[in-house]
Amino acid sequence: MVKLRVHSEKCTGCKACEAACSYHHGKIFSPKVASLWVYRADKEGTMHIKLYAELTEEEKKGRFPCDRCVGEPEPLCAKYCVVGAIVVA
Amino acid sequence: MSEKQFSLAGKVLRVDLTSGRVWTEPTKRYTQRFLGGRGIDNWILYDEVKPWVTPFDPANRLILGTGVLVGTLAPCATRHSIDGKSPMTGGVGSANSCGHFAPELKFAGYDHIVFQGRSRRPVFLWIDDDQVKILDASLIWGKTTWETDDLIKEDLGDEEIQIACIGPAGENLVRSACIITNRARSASRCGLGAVMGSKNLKAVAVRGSGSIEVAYPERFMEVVDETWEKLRLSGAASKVRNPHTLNELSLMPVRNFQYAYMSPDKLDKLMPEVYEEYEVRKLGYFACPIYCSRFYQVKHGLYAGLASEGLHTNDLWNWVARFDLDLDYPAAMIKLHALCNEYGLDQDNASCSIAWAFECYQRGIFTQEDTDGLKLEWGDYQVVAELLRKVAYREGLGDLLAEGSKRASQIVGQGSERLAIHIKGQDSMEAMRTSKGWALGCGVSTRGGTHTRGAAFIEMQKDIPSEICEKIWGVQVEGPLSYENKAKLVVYYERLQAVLDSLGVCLFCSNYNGPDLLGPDDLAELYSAATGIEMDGDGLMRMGERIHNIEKAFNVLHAGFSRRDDYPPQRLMDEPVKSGPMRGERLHREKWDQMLDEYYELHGWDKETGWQTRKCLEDLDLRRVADDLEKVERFSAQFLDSVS
Repeated sequence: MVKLRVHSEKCTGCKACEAACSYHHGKIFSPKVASLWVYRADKEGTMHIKLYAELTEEEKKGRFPCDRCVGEPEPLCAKYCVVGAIVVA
Repeated sequence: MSEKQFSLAGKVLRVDLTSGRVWTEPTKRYTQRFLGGRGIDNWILYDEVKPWVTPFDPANRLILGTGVLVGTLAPCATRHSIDGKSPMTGGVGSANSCGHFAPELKFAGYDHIVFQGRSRRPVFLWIDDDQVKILDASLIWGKTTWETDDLIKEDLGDEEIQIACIGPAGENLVRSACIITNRARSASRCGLGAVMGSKNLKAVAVRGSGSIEVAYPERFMEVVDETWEKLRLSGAASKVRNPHTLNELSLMPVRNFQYAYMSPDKLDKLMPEVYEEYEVRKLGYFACPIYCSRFYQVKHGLYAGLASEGLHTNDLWNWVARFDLDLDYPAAMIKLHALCNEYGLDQDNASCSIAWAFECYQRGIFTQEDTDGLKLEWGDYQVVAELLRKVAYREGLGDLLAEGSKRASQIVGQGSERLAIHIKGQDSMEAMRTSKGWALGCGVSTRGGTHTRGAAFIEMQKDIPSEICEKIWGVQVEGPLSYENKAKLVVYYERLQAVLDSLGVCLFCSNYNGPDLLGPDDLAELYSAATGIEMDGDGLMRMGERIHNIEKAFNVLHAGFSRRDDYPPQRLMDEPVKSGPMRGERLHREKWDQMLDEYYELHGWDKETGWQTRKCLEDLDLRRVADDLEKVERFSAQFLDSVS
């Protein structure tokens, strides 16, 4: 299984990774079910990318756990991250 | 057409602020003829606001519309259009911005929000998926947009809420007030922040947990990949407008358009690399691979501690050129940008009216008695900053400038009218003596000036191969000084812009910026795969023409605009460029007339009056609009001939 590496400091906050992830799981665009979350603090200009490899009971109600995009040629979050904030390790 | 509407949230949210009633209607009622975003917004505006309604009447509408492709992975599909009757022109008011607000609204289940009426007390709208509440805003009324953003998030206990709000400028009915999202993204021009203020509506806060589904997922993702790749190959992300290039083209509105070229030494101090010292990170919004924005932090000097997103080409024009700044402290430009965002001021309009006041002071029309004791001397950015505050709070001279330079000059008189640089009543921020297609697009723009309607920025690009020109525009792209073929380019970009604003896609990723970027066929592929409604590029451009004609008719009915309102500011025709490589260049009235004739002909409008014809409107399936214009005799002689 591929490994993902996250560089939050490079993130532009575009959330394409969230949209792409939800597409992988359900062929829909729905950031709130994605296996990752970009927390964007507009006030401070900071980003934090959180990958959900495992989910808590509460998180299971909404999100899919990350399966490293099984079945895809490459993880979609990394594919649509044009600045290298999420890369295949 | 199938019942399901792919790529849409599906609902238009209606809010009557007078009665407090909230209801929804299906978006599909409008999509077939007006796409989405700006297209649907402007049809609702046309359909529901009567010509005798004034911009601050409760009967005016404030309409927020997301684009059809927003919320998907279509590149740069992250924009919302905000529309209403304009306090600047009395015609169409239309503003556009990116941000995370539009996708969040769609995920909450709504493509548009239509506000009508006026609340008796300050309120904000809270949308949490299908729970919609009108909440008391008395504690945030009077706050800046940044304070409002903080307080609403704190109050609702959620940092991820997306907020569109006004600052003091909107509350005080400043005609250059805008609507801010993400603390820095501004839906500017036309004063729609003041329309929001007139309704006692401080903010719209939204949280959405739903999804957007496209009709053909695999096909859609193939087109997504093709278009993202096209943007990557074009280098769109790294294209920066070089200040020196714009200066050599004399596109600088120096000292309120008295000059068009400035000392290159002043620009050297403001090159993009100068700002790298302040840059914290690059920023983009939903599914945007271009990420043109930056977040800055100021660590020293007068504005130490300031942290803000901002800066684009407009800042160069609005502050550096307009006030002829010689900045040894580059952070001043970041501060002026941030102040506008905090106050909820549209920096284009606000800077123009302040520059008009500076020239009045230069010429002795104003003395310190008129300016609250301030010395309005070119180059003084601290005075500009103070006047921004005064405008936002309508304090002293700011109360006058809050009206925009045209109205202010009519109040002041004494020849100051000649110094008010406006189109259709809205301050014009663009220098345009040396770029004829850019100028024509601004001159005929439905929203009153501005380069984001039909301005042919493409004319600045050199050496586009002739076969590419022929394929995309059907004519050769001549250089900026030529009047040749410019009408055709402007009509092309008017249609394309209407399409982009209705799909929610950013102008910067389109062929506005270069022939290798996205054009109508690319957008049609995205649209067809997303919605399941097959459409080619020509079909989309026809929709764009229809949307443009709705706005044109609104302007004729509401503001009485005709051919005489489609001219550039007189100064740009009378006074040539005084220095630099383009010295002596100006706009020529007789050549402008020829461009206008050709422009009206391409639209199928009457050349004498500039008004629409029944034929052109019926060809666009707008018979109802033709009937409305006929009732008030705002039809051309051509129409009368055709029915006699």
